[in-house]
Amino acid sequence: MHASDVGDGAGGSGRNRDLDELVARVGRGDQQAFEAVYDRLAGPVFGLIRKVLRDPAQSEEVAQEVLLEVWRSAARFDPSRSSATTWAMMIAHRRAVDRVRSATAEAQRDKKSAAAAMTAGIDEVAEAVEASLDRAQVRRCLDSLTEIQREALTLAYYGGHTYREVAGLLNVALGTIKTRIRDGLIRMRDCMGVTW
Amino acid sequence: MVRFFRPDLHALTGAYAVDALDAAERDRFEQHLGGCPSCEQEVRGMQETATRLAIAVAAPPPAGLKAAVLTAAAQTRQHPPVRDAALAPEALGRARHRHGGARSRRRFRLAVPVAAVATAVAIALGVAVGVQQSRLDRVQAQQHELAAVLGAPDAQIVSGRTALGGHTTIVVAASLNKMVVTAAGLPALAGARVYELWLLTPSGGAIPNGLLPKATGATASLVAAGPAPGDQVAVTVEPAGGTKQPTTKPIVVLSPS
Repeated sequence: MHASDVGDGAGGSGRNRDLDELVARVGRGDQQAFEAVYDRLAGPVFGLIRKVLRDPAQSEEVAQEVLLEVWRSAARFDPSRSSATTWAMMIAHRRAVDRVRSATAEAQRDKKSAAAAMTAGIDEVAEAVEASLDRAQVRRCLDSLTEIQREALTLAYYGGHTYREVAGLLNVALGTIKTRIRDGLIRMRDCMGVTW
Repeated sequence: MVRFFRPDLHALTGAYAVDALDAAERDRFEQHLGGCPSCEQEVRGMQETATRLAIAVAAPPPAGLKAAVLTAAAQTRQHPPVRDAALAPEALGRARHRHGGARSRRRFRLAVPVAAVATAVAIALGVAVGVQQSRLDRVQAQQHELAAVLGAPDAQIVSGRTALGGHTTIVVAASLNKMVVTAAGLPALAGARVYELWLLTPSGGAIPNGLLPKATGATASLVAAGPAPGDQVAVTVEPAGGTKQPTTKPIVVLSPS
């Protein structure tokens, strides 16, 4: 899916009010509107979940749960608080991360494999962001971060790690990681012109 | 209004926006968020930013997914709209619905411990003092004192499990230099021993601060002098009547901020 199919994502001038309206219609039980919402959100939802979970079968299962949750909770979407895409992505990311963490609790992922995953994750970002203008912008903005900001942010968001885990993986103090995730996101926000 | 005072919480906006907090930290941060409009604003901008990162990794979903989702939706009842997120925690998984108003959720969450403490205190006082008419004035005075502490604008709750089981909870109102102490689920002490309350000063001193009333039920409480800045609050087991210096290791030490 081309990122511009989704359109908004980021609020402000680029925000897709059309999608907000579709979600509002879904909240009133409109199944046709839901199909249109599916067409626009399934790609980002599935892509994000697969990015975090990696396993395609699990990713499909979680994506199905998330998209069904979009249907069930559409009436609770509040456009004054976020764009519809962000609302859906927050559900998706949360579910993916919950899945990772419940698995982690059982099997205490060892640091070595997580560190390998981190390297792969960053390479994959580099590949994934070449496809479109939006992706190029994300790539350019990621490139504008310091190395530690970029690694902290991608490990947390794409890797589904807690900031504590990120601190361990990068061998950096906890307080520093908190700050790097925050100022990395602020820099990304400003670089991409996200206004909210 | 009770506040959990954590000056470093603001730095967690980024970690919160990308779900990088563990459950306990997330709860604490959400309490903070309800009283911090600038944090909330920052978090929203970060969540929209994270969405861009999500879109950058969009991928074609598996072929069968659409039919599966649409079929499931047709057979699934939708949630009604809600105003108060606290009443609808299921939407975003465990107790988290960012679209429902963090402020109201915060009130809801904090109302529970305060109410629980107030109820526990009321029961304990009622039971301990009973119906003796001569002591009614004192009970009323205590209840006023209690209400004042629990309702103080700077009231702060700190709770901890004791080494003997059960919990000790303090509600500190620094502005009144008082605190309410409740102990729930502590074992009854054999012989003539008592639970004694202490203020531990930063210089290593221990100031005796009263005895927990003998609990007839599971809960005991009292209003006591509040800790000075930097003081900790501790409970020890002592001989009847209490002592001037602790003679045993504290079963719990609480650190108000």
